Amino acid sequence: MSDIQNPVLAEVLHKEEIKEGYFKLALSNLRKYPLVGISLLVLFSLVFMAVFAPWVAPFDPYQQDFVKRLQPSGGGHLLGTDAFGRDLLSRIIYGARISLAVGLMATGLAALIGTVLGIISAYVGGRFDGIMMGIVDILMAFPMLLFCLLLVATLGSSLQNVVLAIGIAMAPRFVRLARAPTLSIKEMEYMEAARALGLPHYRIVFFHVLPNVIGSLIVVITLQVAAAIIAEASISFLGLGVAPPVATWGNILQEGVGQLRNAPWISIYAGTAIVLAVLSINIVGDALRDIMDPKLKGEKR
Amino acid sequence: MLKYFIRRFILLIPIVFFVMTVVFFVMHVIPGDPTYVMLGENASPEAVQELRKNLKLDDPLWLQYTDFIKGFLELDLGKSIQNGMPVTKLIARVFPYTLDLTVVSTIFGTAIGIPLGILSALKRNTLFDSMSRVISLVGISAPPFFLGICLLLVMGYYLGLFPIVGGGDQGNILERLHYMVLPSLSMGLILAAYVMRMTRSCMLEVIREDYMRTARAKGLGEAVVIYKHGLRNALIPIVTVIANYMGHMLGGAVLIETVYSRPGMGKLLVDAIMARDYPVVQATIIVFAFMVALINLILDLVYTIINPRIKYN
Amino acid sequence: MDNQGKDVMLRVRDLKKYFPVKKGGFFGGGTALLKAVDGISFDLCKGKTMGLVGESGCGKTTAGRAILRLIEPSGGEVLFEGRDLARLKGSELTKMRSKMQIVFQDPYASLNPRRTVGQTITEPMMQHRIFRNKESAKKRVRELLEVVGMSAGYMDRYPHEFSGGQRQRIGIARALALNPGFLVCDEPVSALDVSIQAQIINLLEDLQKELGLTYMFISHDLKVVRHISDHIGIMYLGKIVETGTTREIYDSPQHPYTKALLSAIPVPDPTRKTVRIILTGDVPSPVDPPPGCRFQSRCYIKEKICRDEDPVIKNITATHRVMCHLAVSTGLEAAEARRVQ
Repeated sequence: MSDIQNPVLAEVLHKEEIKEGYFKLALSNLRKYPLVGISLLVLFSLVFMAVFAPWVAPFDPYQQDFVKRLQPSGGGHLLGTDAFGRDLLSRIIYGARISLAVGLMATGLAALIGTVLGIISAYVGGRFDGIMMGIVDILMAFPMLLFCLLLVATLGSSLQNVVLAIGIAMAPRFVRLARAPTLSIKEMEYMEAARALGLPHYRIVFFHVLPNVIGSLIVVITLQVAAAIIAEASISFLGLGVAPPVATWGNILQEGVGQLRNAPWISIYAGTAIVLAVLSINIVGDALRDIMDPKLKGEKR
Repeated sequence: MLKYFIRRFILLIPIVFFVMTVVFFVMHVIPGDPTYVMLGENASPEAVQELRKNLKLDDPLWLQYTDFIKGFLELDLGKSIQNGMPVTKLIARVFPYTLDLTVVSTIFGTAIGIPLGILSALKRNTLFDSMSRVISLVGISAPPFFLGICLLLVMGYYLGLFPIVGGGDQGNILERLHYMVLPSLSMGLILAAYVMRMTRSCMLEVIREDYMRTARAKGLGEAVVIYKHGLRNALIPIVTVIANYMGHMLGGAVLIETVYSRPGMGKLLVDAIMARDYPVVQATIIVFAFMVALINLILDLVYTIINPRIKYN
Repeated sequence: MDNQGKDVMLRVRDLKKYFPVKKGGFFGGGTALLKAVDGISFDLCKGKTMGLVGESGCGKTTAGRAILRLIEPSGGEVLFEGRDLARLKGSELTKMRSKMQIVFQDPYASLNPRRTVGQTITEPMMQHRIFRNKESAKKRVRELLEVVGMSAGYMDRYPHEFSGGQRQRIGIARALALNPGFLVCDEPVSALDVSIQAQIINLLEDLQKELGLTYMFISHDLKVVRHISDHIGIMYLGKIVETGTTREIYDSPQHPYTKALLSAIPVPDPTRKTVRIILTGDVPSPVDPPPGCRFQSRCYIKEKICRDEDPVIKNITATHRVMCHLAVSTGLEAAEARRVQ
């Protein structure tokens, strides 16, 4: 950073330096760990597939053709057909839409509710915080899938309810997670400064606490999306989630179980799709975690 | 410290109580009339009335609640709507299967995960290490039921090594074990993946610690060094991972039992949910919650055994 | 402190702050009170600087916060421009806040790392609606930055890009954003290198002259405080044990604690012999302190009365006050003589 007479010019040049720095850092990381690069590619492809499903899928996922039912790959059907003669590949592509969407929406819901509650709870402190943490502890002891099942059982099986159920089941985790950084931020002097300046509490929470808390949550959010996808698949697999003929990876698998002897590929392809998606997210999440604290451990483990 | 555990144990009661309350309210307060669900949309008003009376649905909420609590205390968990059998009996019948599954899965997971993790840490950055890390990544990414299906296909169907449906006769131990292998592997391998990752990272940390060098300098054999000094300290986070997974395991039990058509609490629960058999659903979830709390308590006990320096006060 | 009533900006009377503290036992052996600030009083006139000095843990930081009502006082009055701050509520308190601000000790923790300098300084101005639009606010930010000696071009940078001294300047700029008349400086230079300390102190002095500010300067460092203060208060375990003008305190300290503190200041004159008073004994806990003078456990001239009765404030001059049984009494010199032997 050299002393340039014109402060504005100095600013512009300085910003350019920083941008270059981050970009180079990202690139060098990708080169070192090709696995991460591959996972990102896989993820982008999946998302692309999901978004552009109508153009990517070779067939209509609902179109039945009883002549061609239960065929292994061949005859235009890359992955074969299911019990109703529907093209498996197309169903899996459309299934990506729901599975990924549910994963993202449920995690988003959980993160939103959980983080805000956690921050407020830690900020307010006192008895309120104690009670909240007690509730959260008890809720977290409960197996997530069972909690989801309970909610789905009462609310009914539909897309919204599945998102709601998974979101509510995951929220306590975020409450806990948001609490820790909030507690340490609370003691920071810039918080006192904000109060001394007469800033109202809502402003402090949303503009001073939240931005500093989010950083520590990014990794968890990523990994939770993976968990949400598995949760949706599990719920649909049990027949309690989104029902066929709408395709989700979970219910394709479930239909496939009925045909396990004749057409095991149905379940296998659907399951592989799930594993691919979740695996890529986990790898990227792990990499993010390593980037976030490069100083903590000397070398990548 | 004994006081601490006694206190924790006694705390189980209000916890279960709380869960019961939550379950009760979730099921009763959320809108929707269960009778129509149970009898079908076109049920006659008389049938509906009859059923409501039987289920005491017209009583004020607090009365239903106290009946509910009372019933629990007397160990009368109600009767199943599907077949009229007392729920207690239904649960008692399938509970051993689930217990078996949980215990054996944990054993598999630990027995496979820990040694692999240690080996991986020792052979850091070799091919073995890279491969095992990738495999463990796949392990935590696979939904338990998918793993179950794969195992079922390969080991059960194609190779015919293990039975793929049912739970076997409880009386016959060998048969029980035989029926348990695939289901426990399905869950155990996933646990093994988590355990392996944690073991590896903990051992890596511990190996570098100074007290390891001291132990080696003392001339102790490598194995002793690793197991006695290294592993002991690494065990705590590992046990934590196992504890965390317990929650998933009970959820996974539901899935695995469905895949293998194996009797168990999980299957009981799912079938009950499908049939809107509320008494069974409530009771099963509560038993599950109790089990989870109990398991956590036991694991805390294990912590103190592993590391006597931990004292709860 | 002059009590003439004219131009008294801040009048503190018997300010107290107690913290409840749990005492041992599982089932709660009852709560004790940590008396961080135990009844302090002083006047501060407009345009002057009062230095509040003491060791860590004496309660000076708590006092500063309590005066600004960043923490709630447990008792006493804080009359700022004639109004009791302790009784203000809601929007009145918020309005009052723009008149009194604080500069913090830790330059690394006092700025929000996720906000740029510009955002940090603009925010309070927008909140208090000092400006109608962002443009005029930005102009003001540039002015403020230049006033504290920083380039206006730094507006869009983040705190981590600056050194400790620069961050302190930013903190001062932020404190000035609302045009306060009164500034609490809580150990503003303690975390900085010695060379930078001088710069910041000079900046604060210049600002005081230019803007007519009134300071309460909290520090544990007597050398720093001497330079900038008009009056000084020495705090020990929640009480002000001596106050006076800077000259009075440095030239004729009365309280044994003050003397001990002063004796620790190195004098850059090799020919001057200084008698270093080293305090021994344990510092009593501010939790439920024992009766009598707080300083008795470490006092080198204590007498029996010090153990039995709380000392009262004695006026040595109109501005010089001490809280000690033995001050202003013949016993003092005798006791001193005894100690030196």
